[in-house]
Amino acid sequence: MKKILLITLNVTLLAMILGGIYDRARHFPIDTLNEGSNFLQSQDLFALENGNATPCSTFWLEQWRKYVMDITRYAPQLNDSYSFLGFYNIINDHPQEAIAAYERAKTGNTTYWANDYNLGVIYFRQKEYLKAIAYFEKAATSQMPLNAYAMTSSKLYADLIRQAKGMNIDYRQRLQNGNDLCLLAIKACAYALQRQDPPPEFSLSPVLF
Amino acid sequence: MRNIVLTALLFIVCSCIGVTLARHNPIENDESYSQHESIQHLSYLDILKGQVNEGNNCPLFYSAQKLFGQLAHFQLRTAWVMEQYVCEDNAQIMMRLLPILFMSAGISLCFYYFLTRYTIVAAVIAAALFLTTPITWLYWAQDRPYGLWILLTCAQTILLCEYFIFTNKSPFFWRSLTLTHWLLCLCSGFGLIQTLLAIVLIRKRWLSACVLPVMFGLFYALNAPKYHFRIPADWPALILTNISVERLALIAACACFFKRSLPLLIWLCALLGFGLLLIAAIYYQHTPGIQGFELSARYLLFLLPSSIIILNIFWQEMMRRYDKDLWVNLALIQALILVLLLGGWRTVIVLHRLL
Repeated sequence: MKKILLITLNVTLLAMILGGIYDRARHFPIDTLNEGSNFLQSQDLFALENGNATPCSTFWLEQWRKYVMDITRYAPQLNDSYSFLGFYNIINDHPQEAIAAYERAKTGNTTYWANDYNLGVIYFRQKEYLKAIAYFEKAATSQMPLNAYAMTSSKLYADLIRQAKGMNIDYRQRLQNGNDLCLLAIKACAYALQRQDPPPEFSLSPVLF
Repeated sequence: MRNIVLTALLFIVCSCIGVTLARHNPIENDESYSQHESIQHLSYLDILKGQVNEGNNCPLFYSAQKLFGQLAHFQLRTAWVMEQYVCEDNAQIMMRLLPILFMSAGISLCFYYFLTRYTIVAAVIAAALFLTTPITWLYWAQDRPYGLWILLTCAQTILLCEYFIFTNKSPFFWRSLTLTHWLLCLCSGFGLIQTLLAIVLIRKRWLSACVLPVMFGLFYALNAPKYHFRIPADWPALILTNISVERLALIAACACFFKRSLPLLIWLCALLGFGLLLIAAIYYQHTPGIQGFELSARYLLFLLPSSIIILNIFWQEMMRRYDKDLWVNLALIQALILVLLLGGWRTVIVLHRLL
């Protein structure tokens, strides 16, 4: 009787070990993403977007990159994560990698304005103004409802907004401002084309969304 | 000699892990506040007079940290105080070096104890149990008294095991217990409760190992500012973060078959009971409308080393007792693998963001 009980106990424990491994293997990606997103902050990223580096901006940019890499690993269908990788590469001055990331992001969402705008920023910085104008124009004509839908249905953008503690991020307002940004960038490109130089003290920064 | 070398190696590895954690994580506002307001801003006399403006009035840690800062010529910049996150490599490491050494010493002390009392396998299991607990990693590199508290709780639990399991009543044992209780009472407000519970269980040396240190500790605890606390919605997590369900189950299962387990089981239950009492007291005293601080699992950190040492001792004793019974051995090994595996999974998820 004792032996039967012990064998049953052992089989139960073995089943628990194997079941535990199976269960954890399934939930690990979700747990990792949740743990990661709860810890992140995005104020420093919004500061970077405005051209202001903070003492922790390199740290948080790297943490977000790690988080986004996890999204691309566990949910490769979420193309907006590549938009963030593009932003990361622009900030770190890797334009070719940034272009590749945005092109990858555009395969999932061809109409999202920020991808085109940021590609325009890269070409503007490389003084390829004609290419830049084409991207800025595309970004300016992008449809607002589609952009709003892209943003509200994205986990990454939801996390970016949620984790901007103390900042009231209104994505609709940002989309409105985005349109103005595109028009300003087009004007800057036109100026630069005429004089073969960008406007004095004028710089274009990439946007997060 | 071999035991000392192995323990020293583990201590070095643990310290390196701690420094890596410190380098990868910015300074939190709690840490910068403690460092500036309770350590740099106060004199030794102020610290000893209990004039620390923090809920945990801990003169031992603050004076040690102040001494270390002076010897290492380290000062935290005033501009960083109360910043939620501060990134500065030198400050991140210098502020946390002493707590890292305390935490590493705690893990190494357990390792050394099991190495000398049992086998190298027991020592490795003790270290593995520490390393597969997420909260160990979360507070490994923090400029707060948690590392010291864990070290002293390790020492206290080991001494209790010596007394109850190995009936060690040598003069060295009593001296060590008295010293540990003095340090514990000067380290944490809850150290008073740990000291009281231990002496109630032992019922000897009331004056030197209990009354005097508790009186000193009480002086600091009463001098500390009082804050409002509230209980998080997921209140069982306060306990289960320190002792997971599977560890509790394994301790209970082993205790059923291990005759000399009763005093240690009572000790662990008393600590758990205190934890539950604290949660209940805060729950019933909380005034609606007052926000207050959320009670954190780190306040019950004393449960972590106690449960790990007791679990390992019970497991080792069970393995000794049933060393001829293959099926019992197999069940014990499988149960331990399950405990380590579940803890390991949780730890990997936490490490994913810490490193």
